[in-house]
Amino acid sequence: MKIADLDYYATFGNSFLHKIPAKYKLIDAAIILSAVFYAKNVYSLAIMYFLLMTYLVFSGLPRRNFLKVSLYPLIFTAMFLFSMENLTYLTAFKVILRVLCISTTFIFLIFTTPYIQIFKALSVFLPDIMINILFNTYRALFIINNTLDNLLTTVRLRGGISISRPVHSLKTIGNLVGFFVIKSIETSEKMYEGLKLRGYSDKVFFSRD
Amino acid sequence: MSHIHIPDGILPLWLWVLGYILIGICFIFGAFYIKKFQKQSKFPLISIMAALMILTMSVPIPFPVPYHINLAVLAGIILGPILSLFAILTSNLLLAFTAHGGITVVGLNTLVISIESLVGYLIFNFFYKKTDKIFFSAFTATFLALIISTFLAIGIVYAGTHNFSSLSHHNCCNKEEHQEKISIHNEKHVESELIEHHEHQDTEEKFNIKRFFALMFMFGFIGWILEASLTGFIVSYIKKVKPDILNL
Repeated sequence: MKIADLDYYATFGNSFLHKIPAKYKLIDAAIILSAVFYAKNVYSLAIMYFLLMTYLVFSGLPRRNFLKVSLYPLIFTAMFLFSMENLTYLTAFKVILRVLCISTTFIFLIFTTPYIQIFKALSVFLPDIMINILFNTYRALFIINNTLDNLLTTVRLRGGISISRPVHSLKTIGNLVGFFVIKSIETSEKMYEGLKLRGYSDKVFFSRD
Repeated sequence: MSHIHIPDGILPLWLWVLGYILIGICFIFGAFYIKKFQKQSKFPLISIMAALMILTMSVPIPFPVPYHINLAVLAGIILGPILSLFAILTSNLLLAFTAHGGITVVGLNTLVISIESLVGYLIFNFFYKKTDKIFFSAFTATFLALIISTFLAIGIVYAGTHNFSSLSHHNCCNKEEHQEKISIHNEKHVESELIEHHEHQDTEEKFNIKRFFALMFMFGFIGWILEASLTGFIVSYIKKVKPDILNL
């Protein structure tokens, strides 16, 4: 799932979780993270995950997309579990539940809180440079995402990528990304000039709302 | 693929905290460099590179496991190793919120990818100066950087999980209880203890580094070639169209 889609849910969603300020959600996420790390047995983890799933049922969030994103880390957990010797079901469940509890918590955060609000909450303890770059990256994501979509459509329409010609396809993708990089750098220069004209002084300010 | 896809909750606290501390130190040096050399005008460029990395990282290439390229070496070539650290940290942080990589491993991930970026940058410059062949230099730099960073990622995962049994058994009983049980056990069954110990070792849950390495290598090798070729073509294109971006 693209970040733009997640941002859409976070910005236009109308659940009770959307109304909670970002800083409380971040504190809540930190508490759950600590609880998961110090959970002593599989039952407490199962209860925690059950509670998170109950939240999901009553939150009004798009369940299918939510689960799709929150279950994504399981692919890599499986890779890790395959590397274990003499693995018991109990340990496997414990690891899986740990992973799911944390991923679900953060997906809740990102599905219900716009990135800007998260940056604002993080600005309390992150340095200005980081907030600056995070804000600019978020802005750039949407600008260059459209360019990338248009470029990909153009290449597909012209039959530029074909599995039967892998080297040619790779070269086409390489040229496309190369063009995309040049375009993006030009965009960044324009972006900086625009920001400077509007009084940007290498610091991002947030409104109180 | 080179970054640690191990999600939150597997690596121990000391390891990921250490990752954050190391990346914090690098960050302070980076921030000092930006202030000293007045590189604030590069913020939009860093952001664009971070956005590029996020867009390419969030597009999985169809493969047995979702493979993606991360363009870290390209970021290193365009931004240089110091500024690319900020782009890598930003992209990792934003992706971690979408359950891609885990929030606790952001520090370690940034460390691994930054080293990949640094190694790629150095090898690219070295080969380009020696051979003057742009595709070859970019391909070799990316390929070698990916191998190094994959080994680094495997090493980190191993360091955090080789005593994995502590995760699965730490809740069996408290320390005093455990000591008491051991002493009773020792008094009663001194002779059979060794046999039991060996049996316990045979059935103990442990992380098999060889198996993990085989899995990483199996899925990674094709990816390394893919990413190295792609970076080679991208850098060649940029060299033809707008060479000043590469700072050669």
